[in-house]
Amino acid sequence: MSNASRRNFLTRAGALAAAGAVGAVKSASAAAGPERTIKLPDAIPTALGMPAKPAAFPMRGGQVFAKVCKDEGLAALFCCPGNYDVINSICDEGIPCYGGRTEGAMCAAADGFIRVTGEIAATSGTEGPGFTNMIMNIAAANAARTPLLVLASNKRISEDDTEMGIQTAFQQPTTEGMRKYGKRLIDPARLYEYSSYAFRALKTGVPRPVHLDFPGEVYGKTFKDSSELKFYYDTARVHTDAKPHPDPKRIERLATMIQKSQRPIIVASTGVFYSRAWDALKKVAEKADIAVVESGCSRGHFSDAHRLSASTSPSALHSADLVIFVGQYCMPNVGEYAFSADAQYVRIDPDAGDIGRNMPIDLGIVSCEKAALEALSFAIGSQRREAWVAELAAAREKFEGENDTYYKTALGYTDAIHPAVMARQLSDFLYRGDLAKEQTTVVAGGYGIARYMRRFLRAYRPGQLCNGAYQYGAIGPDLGYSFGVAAAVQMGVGPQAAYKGHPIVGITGDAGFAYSGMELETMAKYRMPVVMIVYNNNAWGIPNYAGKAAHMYLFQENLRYDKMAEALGGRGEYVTQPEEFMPALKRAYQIAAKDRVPVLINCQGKKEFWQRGNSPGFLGKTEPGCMAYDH
Amino acid sequence: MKLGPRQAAGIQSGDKSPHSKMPAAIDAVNAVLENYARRGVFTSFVREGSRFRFTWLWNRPFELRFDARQRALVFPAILPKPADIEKEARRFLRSCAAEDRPVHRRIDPERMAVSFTKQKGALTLVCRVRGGDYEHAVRTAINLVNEMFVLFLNTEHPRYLMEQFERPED
Ligand SMILES: Cc1ncc(C[n+]2csc(CCOP(=O)(O)OP(=O)(O)O)c2C)c(N)n1
Repeated sequence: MSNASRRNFLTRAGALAAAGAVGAVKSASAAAGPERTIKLPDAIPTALGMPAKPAAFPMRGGQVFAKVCKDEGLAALFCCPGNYDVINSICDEGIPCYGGRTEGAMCAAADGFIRVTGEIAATSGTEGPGFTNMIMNIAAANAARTPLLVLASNKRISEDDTEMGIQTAFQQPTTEGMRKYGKRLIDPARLYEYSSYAFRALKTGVPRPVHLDFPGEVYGKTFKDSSELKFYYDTARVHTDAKPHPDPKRIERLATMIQKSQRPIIVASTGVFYSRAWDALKKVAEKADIAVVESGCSRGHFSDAHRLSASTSPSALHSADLVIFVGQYCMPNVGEYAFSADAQYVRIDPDAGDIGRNMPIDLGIVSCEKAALEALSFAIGSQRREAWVAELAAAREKFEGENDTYYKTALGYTDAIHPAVMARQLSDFLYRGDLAKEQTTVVAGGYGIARYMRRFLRAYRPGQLCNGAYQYGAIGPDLGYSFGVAAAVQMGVGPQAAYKGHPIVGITGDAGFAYSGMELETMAKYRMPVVMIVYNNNAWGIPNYAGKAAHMYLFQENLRYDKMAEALGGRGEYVTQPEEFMPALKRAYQIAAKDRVPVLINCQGKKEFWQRGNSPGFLGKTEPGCMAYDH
Repeated sequence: MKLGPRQAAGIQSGDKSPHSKMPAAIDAVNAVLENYARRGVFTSFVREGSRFRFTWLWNRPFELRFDARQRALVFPAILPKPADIEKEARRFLRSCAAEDRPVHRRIDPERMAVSFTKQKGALTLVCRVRGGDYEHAVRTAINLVNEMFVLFLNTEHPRYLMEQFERPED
């Protein structure tokens, strides 16, 4: 972390200390007897306000590792207690750290943080139990190609296979298939060396999680001085920031293909975001009137407001005659993207070994995405394609028209709030009201609710939208993602810098809420301004609501997630009718901004909305673009 | 693939005897389909007389038959059990020839007529070729089916895809 961002963190900690002094929240269900209020103990702001305490030799293993993390610019740690030597040392180094309620949700928090900042973050848990609690969300991060550093303590090598004490687990086999690199550290002298392996994997090529587990012999070893550590160099000596550049002949060939094409389109995916290639992308698109559609787990690297954006023009995708995938790490199969059977395909990717997987290619270019787009911006000639631009605009208008129809139909339901009403009014509030449309970072989670929300949510700048479920399709990490995204915005990390301190919005379903709902307490503890919208349809969103199995899909009705938020130190709103949503949203946003607390809006829907005959019903999706859920 | 001048002339000559021109027509159909396989759009391809079978969208098997007598490209039972979506599917088909569609995606009634016929409770897509440009006809038919699945059904009828095409529910 840079000195500047460290200063920001301390400023935030100071603000938190102040908030703590006045931040007691009255319990919603105060029983008779002496009144108890939810209170932030002084120890929390005090701890957060303490200066960093970087370690010096003699150091323990945990401290040595924390120093590597500091030197490598680790942007944040999200964890639960366990792996104590490591997490305490990382905290002492002055890296922003957050302690939550479950390792799984904290793992998702780190993932969410990375998805909207492009910076590396870590998650940590204790040995067997804490580590295995993270598994679903490590797998989700892997599918999303997130450079997530997974840390866990792991007993002692001397006790391997003995079941001595508790918590024995063989960690590395567990993450096989869901990580880019993993290592159980064995030889304490090689701690620094293997840390470099980890950061090399995180910072180069196509990112995915890296998993290190620390036996007691490693984190607890005391090093007198650097002579006891191998490869103990400056980090600049152990990896390079050089990027692969494209073959000029292939760039020329692509320029010719673009010149001959009538309706070219760039699919700007995850690699565009991680290589921070948004300016180069815009330059290329504008120079030759190339349409751009986004895919991936975060959106905004090409503004939805741009005349060349196809992210909200789904019906135009089938017209493209040349499709250029840039940084499309999670590759669709034929039929998953809505392009025609005659489209030509080009792939620009840092990993030669992946080019040609799933989709046939007419041209492959091995390169860092940014380097390729920069080279292309010089190689292509200026071209205007008025007819193509007009087709994109007409498709956009058609899409908005469909959304409008859904909204109007949904307003006809008055016994519950329909997802189309929530989605449309949320978008009115975020993009067509008093707020600057670029301001609010949003986590679009949930399942059925996501089908509506993603049609209406927009992204106007990099990292503005984090898609919750993406590729792995895990229901549940949304409050974890929201916490990590809130932390990123509160600190103003990376592309969030200009929006530092603003409230964020998170969306989830009622089934999803259960997996990470306790993190409302973590949001309240760290005074995170989060408006958390829960679509409560009294059921898992899979409409299997009749027959003998129905009880396995249904919940008790009218559950009060809003009261849970209040009971955990946040605030709650309960919305049961369409006209109540917008006022509740406005109140929630204001309270979140002013009091720096999470506010949960419990939106009472009904399960029948997903069943046949209840138009507009459960929606499908077209990919790539704003509706994308899979790739 | 482009038809050679001799073949193209043969098809468009107005000769009413099917036997004299159909080998050229079916070869043209075969060549275009085979090219999709060569490009990797189809991941497998086999010709059995006038019947073509290929693996295509979502790695599923597809079938196209060339009916020489009717000069038609036929996708048998392409939409099984269409009860809930039949009306909408017919509307989609009509929309493909509508004036408000971009011209590069519009079905030109001078060159092809498309319709659904119902057989054994399933919808069969019939594309009748007019004018004899079989290369254009196969491309148009393939893209019509492509669009029917990846845009129309995917976006508007996800439940139907889950039930009839084993698309994942979640
Ligand atoms: C962890 C996990 N469990 C189960 C599933 C299967 N699944 C996918 S969506 C879904 C229903 C989700 O319901 P809810 O979170 O209420 O979302 P809604 O449809 O109401 O938006 C289920 C069970 C999954 N994808 N992930």
